[in-house]
Amino acid sequence: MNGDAFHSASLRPEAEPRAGPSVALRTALPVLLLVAALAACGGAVYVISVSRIAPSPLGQSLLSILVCLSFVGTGVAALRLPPYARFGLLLSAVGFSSLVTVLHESNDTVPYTVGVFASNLVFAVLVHALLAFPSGRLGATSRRALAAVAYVDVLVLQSVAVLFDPLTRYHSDHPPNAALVLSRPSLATVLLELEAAVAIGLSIAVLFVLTRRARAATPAARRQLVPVLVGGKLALLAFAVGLALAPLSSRAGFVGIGVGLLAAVALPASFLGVMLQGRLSRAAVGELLVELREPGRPPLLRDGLRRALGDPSLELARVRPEDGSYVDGHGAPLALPGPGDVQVASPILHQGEPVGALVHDRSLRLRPELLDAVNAAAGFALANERALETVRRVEARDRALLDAIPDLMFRVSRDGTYLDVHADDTSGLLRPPELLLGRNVREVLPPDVADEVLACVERALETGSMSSVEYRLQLDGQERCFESRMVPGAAGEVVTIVRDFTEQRRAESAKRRLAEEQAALRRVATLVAGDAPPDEVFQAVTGEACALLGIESALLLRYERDDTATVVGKYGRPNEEFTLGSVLELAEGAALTVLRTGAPARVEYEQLPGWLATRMFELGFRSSVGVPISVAGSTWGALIAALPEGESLPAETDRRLQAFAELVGLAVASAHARDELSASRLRIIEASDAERRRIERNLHDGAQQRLVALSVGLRVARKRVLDAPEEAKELLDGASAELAEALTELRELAQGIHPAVLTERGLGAALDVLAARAPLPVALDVRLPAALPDQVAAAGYYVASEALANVVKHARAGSAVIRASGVDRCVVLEVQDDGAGGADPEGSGLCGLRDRVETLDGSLLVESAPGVGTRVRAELPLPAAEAR
Amino acid sequence: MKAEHRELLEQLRPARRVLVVDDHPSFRRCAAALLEAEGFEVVGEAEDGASALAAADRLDPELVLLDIQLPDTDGFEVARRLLAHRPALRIVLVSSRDRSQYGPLIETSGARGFIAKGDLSRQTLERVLE
Repeated sequence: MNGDAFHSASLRPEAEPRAGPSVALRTALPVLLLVAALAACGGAVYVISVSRIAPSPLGQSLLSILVCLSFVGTGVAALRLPPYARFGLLLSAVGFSSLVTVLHESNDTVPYTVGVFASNLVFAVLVHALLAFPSGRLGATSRRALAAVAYVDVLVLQSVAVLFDPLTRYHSDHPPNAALVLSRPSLATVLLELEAAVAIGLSIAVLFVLTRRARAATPAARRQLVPVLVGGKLALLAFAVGLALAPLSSRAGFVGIGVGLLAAVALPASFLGVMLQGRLSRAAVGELLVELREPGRPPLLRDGLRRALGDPSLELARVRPEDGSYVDGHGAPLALPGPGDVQVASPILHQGEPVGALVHDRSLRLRPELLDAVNAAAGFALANERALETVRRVEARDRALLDAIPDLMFRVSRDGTYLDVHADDTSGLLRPPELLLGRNVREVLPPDVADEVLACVERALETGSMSSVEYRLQLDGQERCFESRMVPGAAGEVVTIVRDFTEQRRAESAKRRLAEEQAALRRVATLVAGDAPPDEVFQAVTGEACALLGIESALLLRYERDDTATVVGKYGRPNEEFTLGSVLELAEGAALTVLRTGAPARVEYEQLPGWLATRMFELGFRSSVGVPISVAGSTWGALIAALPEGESLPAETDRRLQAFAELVGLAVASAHARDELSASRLRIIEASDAERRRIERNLHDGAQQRLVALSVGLRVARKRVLDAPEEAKELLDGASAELAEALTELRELAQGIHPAVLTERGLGAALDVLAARAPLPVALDVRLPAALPDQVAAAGYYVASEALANVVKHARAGSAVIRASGVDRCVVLEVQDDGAGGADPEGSGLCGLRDRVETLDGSLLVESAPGVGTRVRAELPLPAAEAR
Repeated sequence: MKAEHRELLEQLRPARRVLVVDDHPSFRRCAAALLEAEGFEVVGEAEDGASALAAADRLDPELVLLDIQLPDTDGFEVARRLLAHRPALRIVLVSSRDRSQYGPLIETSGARGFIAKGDLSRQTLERVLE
């Protein structure tokens, strides 16, 4: 059900019960009625007091006044409540009609006769009022009929009876019946008894109708109906009994009517009770309003409304703002009652907007003022709920926004007082938030920062727009960068969001530093890669390191023997000392520490002994950092950065110097390798030349000489063979011997150039031959792969051959052993003797062997401690396929 | 027998007094045998430069058969020194190496000529000495 249907179908037609006497009448009528009632009471008291026949003038006066005023007073009170206004009039009518009975006591004929005529009118009016309760309208035909019967009974039947009644049975002194047409007392008695019987029957019928109504009523309606109906019923019963007695005797009738009237007072009394209950309900509205000041859960509001309206079936429907549909306190859809339902819905409007509806008992319509009050209260409550919900949503959104922003947020007053602090992460605060609140910026921030911040606050407030300031703070010993953006807020305060962009700054500068560093390293690396002379690299490194680290002086030292070092690179101060090429005797300082530890070192000169520290201190330097330059696993030198007083080392100085040091190491290693390669090539060429010379010399000195001599000898022998045969024979013998010698020498020479057995039978066999030829016992331990690459086999052979030759020439050894094995993709060949040791590993023979071995990426190790013999060990790597 | 040969040679042509300088004994022996067979008088033999200079002083040869490669010095140096004292001395350089190996050294040495040791004979000697 939507709101429109609610308005059109369910609510408008029900507006009718509110209609009643016009406003003017409603204000004037009560006064008129009260005045009339008082006047009537005065009249009644007069009539009674002068009456000759009134049995108990005082009691009757009091009873008359009580009955009249109770009904009229209650009726007047009811007039003020629109739904009861009509009923109020009826009550008043009961009051007035009750006084008519008093005329019965008049001494004068006409009033007495009128009194006799209308003495029972009050019964009919009472029946009318009861049937019309509480709206004042009779409504259904049955009720109209009953009311009509009552009026006919007490007016028509009574009147007819009076025409024939001489009224002698009531009192002897009463005036004569002015309306007596024909004195027929028996007929009158019959008519009066008929009237009483009808009255009794009518009373029973009314009682039945009322009881049925009370039974059928909803609890809320019953709450109103029951007291009134019970009072009404009592009154009615008393009346009926009184009427029944009246024909019998005046006295009895009088007592009956009196008791009936007295009982009738129960009706206004109970009605007053109902009205009072209404007042109490309005008080409950007041309580409800008090309750609603404390917004509770939805059921609490509904329960409060139920209490206030006395309707336990009440439901509170809320209009959902999204689509205008109705929901209950838990958000479940709620259908509003239709036109035929026991319950009806009253819309709850707030500022003209439907915010909900009260679904309540139809009977509550009879108490519109209460309904209105409760409705208005509910309207406020719902509007309040909505507003709270909106505020809650906005707050939640703002809070979520604030939580989502990792920044600090403050509210700061114009004078710089912290009014509010929001800090997700309190590490950006100088004090915890609770110690900031209420404090002034000047108490918290350093003076210069406080000035800037306050100026920014002022700017934001004056321009009415965003203003920002950047500042730095020392937090936990670290400098942090902040940006504060201020927006003018309410009443001379600013909302400021403070962002910590330290990391950003740091990252930016780190990035820049890295780029600079890489550019510098690249420049040096380019020099290194281009095989620039080491001196040039050294100079470039010191210059670049100083530029990059923003320092004044750097030295590059090469360690020499005995704790000395040569200055090989220099940048910056001092101009006169530590010049390039100068040799320093190291004293306590970064360089010496690096030399000893092989690790980066930092020193403070003030705390160090020794000439170097003293001199550096005199020169204005206070500290220095040194990093090692490693070449081939040992500390070759150091790169030293020296700092004057007041300068502090930039971040990561060690690491950054180290990067340069590594490049220097690379340059030095590369230069070494280059030199070593040149030297090795040279030695190989020289060895080759020497070998050629040796072969040429050997050929020349040996075989060639012998052959020349042989040739000459043979020629002489030919000349002599005839004339001096003996001499010729001698010459030929000599020639023969010479030829044999020449052949031997040639064979040996060829063997020296390249042993044939090596080519034909491999390294193992060649080593056998070497061992066999040696003039001392040589043991063999040979475990070699079947086939070796030619260069490896040749290198192994020459290592063994040369080492064995050295053993023979120098070692004074008793025996030697040759071991050869193929291990781990490597041929290892060892020649060990038990001789004197003390061989020079750099001797020319071994040096040549080393060149040969290193050409094959192998290595040669010579161990020759004096007294324990010599061991020459060559490791010759094999190409992958040859390894075992 | 030697005396008969010598006499015969002396009859045929003017005798030549020869000093053989070579560090190789078998060559010295063969060369001496050959020279004597061809009528030369081998007055002495020397095995190195120093002994060659001494022998020349002592023996006063007319001809020196001088090996270029000597243990202490080379034949060119010995030739220079010998000629410094006696410019008329005839020196013939010999070597088991080829002449081309020495090039202009032979021309500038002051020696009369060069004979590869294998080519040594009367004819080659005469050709050099003419």
